[in-house]
This record gives sequence, structure tokens and C-alpha cells, in this order.
Amino acid sequence: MTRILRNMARRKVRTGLTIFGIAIGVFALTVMGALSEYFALQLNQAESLYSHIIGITPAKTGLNAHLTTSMVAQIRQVNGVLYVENIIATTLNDTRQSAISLGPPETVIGVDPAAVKYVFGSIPLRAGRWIDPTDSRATVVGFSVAQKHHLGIGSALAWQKHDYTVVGILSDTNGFPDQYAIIPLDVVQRDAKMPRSAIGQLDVVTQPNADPEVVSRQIEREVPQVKARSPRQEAADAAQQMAVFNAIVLGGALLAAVVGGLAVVNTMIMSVNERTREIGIKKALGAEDRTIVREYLSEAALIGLLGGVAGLWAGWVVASLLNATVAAGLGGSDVWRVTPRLVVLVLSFAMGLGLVAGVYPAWSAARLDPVQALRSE
Amino acid sequence: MGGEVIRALDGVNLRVRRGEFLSVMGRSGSGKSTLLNVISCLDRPTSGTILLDGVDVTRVSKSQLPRIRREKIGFIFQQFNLIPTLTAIENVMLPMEYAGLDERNRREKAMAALSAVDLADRMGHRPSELSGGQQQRVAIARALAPEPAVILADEPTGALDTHIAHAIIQLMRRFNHERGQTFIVVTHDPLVADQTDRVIRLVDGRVSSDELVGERKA
Repeated sequence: MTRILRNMARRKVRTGLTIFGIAIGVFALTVMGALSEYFALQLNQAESLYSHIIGITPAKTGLNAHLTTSMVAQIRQVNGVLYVENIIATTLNDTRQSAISLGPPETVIGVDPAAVKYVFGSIPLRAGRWIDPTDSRATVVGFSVAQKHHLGIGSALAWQKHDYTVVGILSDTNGFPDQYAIIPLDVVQRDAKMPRSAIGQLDVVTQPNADPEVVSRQIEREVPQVKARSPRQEAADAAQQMAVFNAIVLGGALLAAVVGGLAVVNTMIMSVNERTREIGIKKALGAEDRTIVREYLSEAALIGLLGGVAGLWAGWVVASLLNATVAAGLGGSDVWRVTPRLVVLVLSFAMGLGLVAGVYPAWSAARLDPVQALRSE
Repeated sequence: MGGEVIRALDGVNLRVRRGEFLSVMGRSGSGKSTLLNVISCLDRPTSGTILLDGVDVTRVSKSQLPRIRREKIGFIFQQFNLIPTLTAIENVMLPMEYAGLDERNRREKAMAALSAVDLADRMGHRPSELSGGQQQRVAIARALAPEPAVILADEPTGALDTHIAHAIIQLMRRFNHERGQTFIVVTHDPLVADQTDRVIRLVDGRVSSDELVGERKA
């Protein structure tokens, strides 16, 4: 190990620049990857929180396509349906504060207080209680909303020129519910001046012993003009969107790989050329070809790993800064997540990159004819 | 290169006994280096056989050659050829590392060899911190430590002052006497050749003379 470092220290500037090149690529990978990790986390949260819920949308798209109260009544009759929840989601902030949005915005959720536990019951309460049918201007707020507005039980949250008494606070979910202010549906409709027939998002809660997949097919068969999306379909859709995002991240990483990898190839070829005579000496002293290969591969891998560590560190610093400024300013929780698995992935990627880039130089070093190599200056 | 076949060595028939201290002389291009290269298995002759310690190395597979070099051959070069990033003792330990000796054994043998060449106090120095004569003594220690069958020295004094050159040859002589180590020294310096037991002269790839120094002087 110290010997590899001594070899690398022979050309400090060149080795340093090569490591820097890899570090830039790894930096980009870390920052983008941390964002991707955040979305993956949200996805996981959503899947575990809503695994018993079927989403309902109009079968056709267009201006005339909308859900009606009669559809709600029909869906209620389907076998296996426990409850049909009309959820209205609207922004909490009356004025748009920022043009850019990172992560979910703060959202008012209008929900029937009698059924709130069916939909959100899987989220534990940090303090207080759920809203109930006797409540009027009351709210249960998400973890981030409580933090940002400095809310405790009994404090008031302002929305639509009214004050809503906080009766409960959700625990930290690392997901969308952190941004919620849950308010009784009729109060939301009244205060936001919406008609009573307004339907936002329809969530169908299935009975505990019913299979959501079966129930969603049943709904589509029995209720015309609606499309039922089972939890599995919702998850598949979200996963597909994740895949697109990951492809972009991977594209950036591949670009970094090509640039950083070529720099390593270049550096290692120059090192082999400079040390031709030395390779000849080592062969004369009885070094096997694989010993020479190992020596140069280790050096390339170490260059990759050092670049990886430097890039990861820089990426982590920038991610923390972004979390502290941009994400916090938008009232969000941490949007860049440098997770342990991302750290492992990024470091193995950087080291693997160095290894692959070292293959050709190492092979050409091992292939040198000792007689010729000893003659070179 | 053209179509002409150049024979660097032609019809050389040479028998070296264990424990001999022998020099090979000749002008540049006479085939000295080629002879050394084929004995050390760095190069292969197009025809003929080379028996090294009873093994015909021309018939050994290419992958076996590093092992033969490690076990049978020690090298001393004109330009010392120490690895610049390694300390004196690390340089001496290197061939034994290739031979798979454990760290403790290597270190013991290397320390003994460096003490034998009177460099016990320079073990931790890099080649750039040593004089030419000291570097060549490290190289001698490196060749001796694994106790090979034969030590090949290619112009070992070529890059040294006359009085240091003399000391280096004396050192090699001492190991030849004390340990019965076989030395083949390639040189164009008659003063060096005079200190060996037997002198082979090469001209155009052929042996032109082969005489014992004692006989010639007598």
C-alpha cells in the first residue's frame, strides 16, 4: 500500500489532476444520486402507507370527464369496499412564494373526519389526536409543517383568512404527509368556497380481508366511466417514473465514467512508459506477469478510490448546504439524501472505474519484453 | 531490419563449474550481452541448449521462466538498477518477495546481506541518497540474498571510479571464496578480468579464447 502511494507521489501534479477528474464525476453522481435516493424513499413511504388504497380516476380524459357523487355512491356498493374517501388537496400557502419547487409543497388535505383513520391511520401521531366529526376549524399537521410554522397542540394555523386549531401532529415520515395540514372536508369546501359536490381525489379503502387487486377490477366492471388503480399499479407507475429519473442520473454517471476513466488510462500509460526500465528490472528479478499486472491495477484502483472519496465528500458537503438553504427555504425536509447504500455504491463505482481503466496499461506493462525494457532509459 | 540474419552468438560451447569466478570479455556487439541474456532466460536461443544447474532452460515453458530466474539467477547491472521508490532493504527484499518468502524471513536475509556488504547503517535510505558504490553494494546484496546458483554481473564496475570498482570486484571475490557462489562477470575492462579466475573472449559471437588467469600469467 505505501509502495503504491510512493509510486503515485512520483508525479504529484499529474496524479492529483487525475484524482480531481474522477472526483468531479463522482461529485455529480453523489449529488444526483442523493436526489434520486430522496425520491426512492418517498416512493417506499407511499407504498407502505397506501398499500390498502385504490385510486379512482375518470376513465376518459378531457373537459367533460369528471367524477360524480353518483359514482361515489356506486363504488360504495362494490364488494370488498370499506369506504370511499373524497380527498381534496389544495395549497396551504395563499401566495406563491417561490417559482421553483423542490419536493412536495405544503398541502391542505380535506378529508371526512369520520374516515380519516382509514386513509391516514397508518401514520403514527407524534402528539395530540386525529380530527373527529365534532371538530370545525381544526387540523392535524405534518411534521415539517409543524416545524416550519412553530406549531404545537393548541396553536393556530392560518389558512384562507381563518385560524385552524392544531389538535394533532404527525410523526416524521420522510414523505409527503410531512407537508400536510389535514382539515375536515366540509370545512375546506366552505372556507375555500368550493361547491359541496366537488370531488378531488377518490381513495377507496378496501376491507382488511379483501385483495385490493381484485376489488379494483371489480370496481371497473361494475361502475361505468371510472378507472381504478390498484396499489400495485400505482407503485408500478411511480417505479417507471423513478426509472426515467435514474436513467438521467446514470447518464451523468456514464459521462463521468468516460471522462474520469480516460484520464486514468492516460495517466497509467504514461506511468508505464516512464517505468519501462523498472518493469524490466522487476521481470529480471523474477516477477511474474501477474505480479506486474496487480501492481498497476492496484495503483489505478487507488486513484479511482481516492477520487471517489474526494468526490463523495464534496458531494456530501454540497448536498448538506442545499438541504440547509434551498430545501429548508421551501419548507421541505431534506431533499438530498446521502444514504449509506449511496456511499457504498459511489465508492465501488469509482474504484471499479479505476480498475477497468487500469486493465490496458497494466496488461501492456506485463507484456513488455524484459530485454527491451532493460535497455530503455 | 532487412532479410539478413544476424547471429549474435554462434556455436558457443561453454561449461561453467559451480563456484567458478569467470569473466567474459569482448567489444560491444561481440555477443556478451546476448550470452548473458540467454543464460538468464531473459532471451531464448534459436537453437542449442542451456543447462542451468542440470535443467535445460531452453525447453522450459515460458510461464516457468520467472521461477527459474528467481531460484537460479542473481543479477548485478552496470546502472545498479535499484527501484528508486524503495529503500535499500526493500530493494534487497524484492526478489525474495517474488519468490514468496514470508516478510520476517525476507527481512532477516536482507539485513544479513546488507551487513555483509557493509551497509547495515544505510538500510532505510533510498537509492538517491546513496553514492554509486553504495548503490552497487545494495545491488550485490540483492543478488546474493536469495542464494541463487549463479550471479550474473553485466559491467558491474562500468559506472564507477577505478578505486571503487576495485573494491566492488574484491567484494564479489570475497563472496565467491566464502560462499562458493558462482559469478559470471561481463566486462570490457582488463583490470577487472585480471581479478577473475578464468577469462572467456568473444569475437563476433564466437569464443576466441578461454583461459585460466593463473595459466596466462604463468
